[in-house]
Amino acid sequence: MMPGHGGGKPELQKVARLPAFLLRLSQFKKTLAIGVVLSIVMALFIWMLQLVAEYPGVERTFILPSWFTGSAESPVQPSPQHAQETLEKNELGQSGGYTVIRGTEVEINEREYKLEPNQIRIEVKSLPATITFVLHNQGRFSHDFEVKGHGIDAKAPKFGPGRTQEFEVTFGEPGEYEILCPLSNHAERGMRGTLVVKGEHDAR
Amino acid sequence: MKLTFRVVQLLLTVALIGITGVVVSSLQPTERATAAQLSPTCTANAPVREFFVVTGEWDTTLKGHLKDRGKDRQKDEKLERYTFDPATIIVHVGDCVVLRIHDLKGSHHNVTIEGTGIDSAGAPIIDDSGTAIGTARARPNPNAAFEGPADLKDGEFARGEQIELRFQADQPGTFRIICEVHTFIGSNGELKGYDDSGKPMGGPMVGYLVVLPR
Repeated sequence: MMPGHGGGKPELQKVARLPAFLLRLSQFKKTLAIGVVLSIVMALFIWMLQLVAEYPGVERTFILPSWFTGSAESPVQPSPQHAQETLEKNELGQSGGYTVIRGTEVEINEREYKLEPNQIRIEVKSLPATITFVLHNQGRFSHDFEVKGHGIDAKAPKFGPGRTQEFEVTFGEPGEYEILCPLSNHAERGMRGTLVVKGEHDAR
Repeated sequence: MKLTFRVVQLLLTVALIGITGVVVSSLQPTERATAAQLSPTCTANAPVREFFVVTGEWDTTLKGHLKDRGKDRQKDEKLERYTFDPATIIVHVGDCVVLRIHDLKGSHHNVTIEGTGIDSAGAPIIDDSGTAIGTARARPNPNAAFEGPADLKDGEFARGEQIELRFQADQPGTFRIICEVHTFIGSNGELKGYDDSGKPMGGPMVGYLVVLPR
């Protein structure tokens, strides 16, 4: 079957504005040609977006998704001790403004100038317990993480934007601890919060 | 019959466009996770580009009431703005960049380069000959007797101190060099001279690192 020749109606009037070489092509080839041109335009557009994505310091009025720029896909580097531990499955809940976690792992997002969540209650089976903080830097600058209280003052290494790191702290006592980003004035601008550690048989 | 053929043609075209798009995007390098970072260490043969930067200050005493960037400021108030001098550092991809930043104006500063993971926390404090004499970590302020806070936090350095930032400029782009002590950063990364309560910060205190392609 030859497409584009059916009827013999004066359909040519419509396409008369196309270049002459296109008119000589069959309908199928015309569609194909348009498809190829559109594909090239689309490919160029994607290529341009990729170029834009390479310049993180440049301010943009639109946000590219993380799967596109790859900035959120930084690999987690688990510590060797952590690999041997079998983590309990976390149960998440909310209670009195606190994010409640039953288990030994807590994820915290850091950005200017916030910790999310920043009111955390962790309920562990027994103390002492080693808690793994999975820290995501979702900001534009370097950040850090520190836990203070009850004789503990543990500071993670600072880490850059888009990075994730795991940081372990062993808690011996139940109670309230301060969490913060110790870099410059980040804590006073809001990167601080409270961590409550509680054993299963602990009354508090 | 003809209509069916047209529909098939259309579907084929759309499929072709889709396949081309997927192929082109998969041709791009996948090593993007670390692309946003500049390397905090230099390779052995990288050419070293050293820059001496001083913190400066522009100020003026107001002769009458005016609006400074929309904020009311009264007669005899002092407007201050801290600066980096030079404010623009131009290097090429592959250069080992060394910034010696000396606090001359301002009781204390910190320095962070946006989107790069490079900042002054843990940077060596160096003397005039470049020998490390300390580290920009949380510590008592050496000048606390006459100015500034009692304690400095991680990354902060006091008047008279000179820090050294060393990194490899391994990707092109323009990166903002920011003192967070004198800049208020909004939730979308906008740099401001006043914080949300309207308090003047003496900024934005910002410079630019321009990394040109080789």
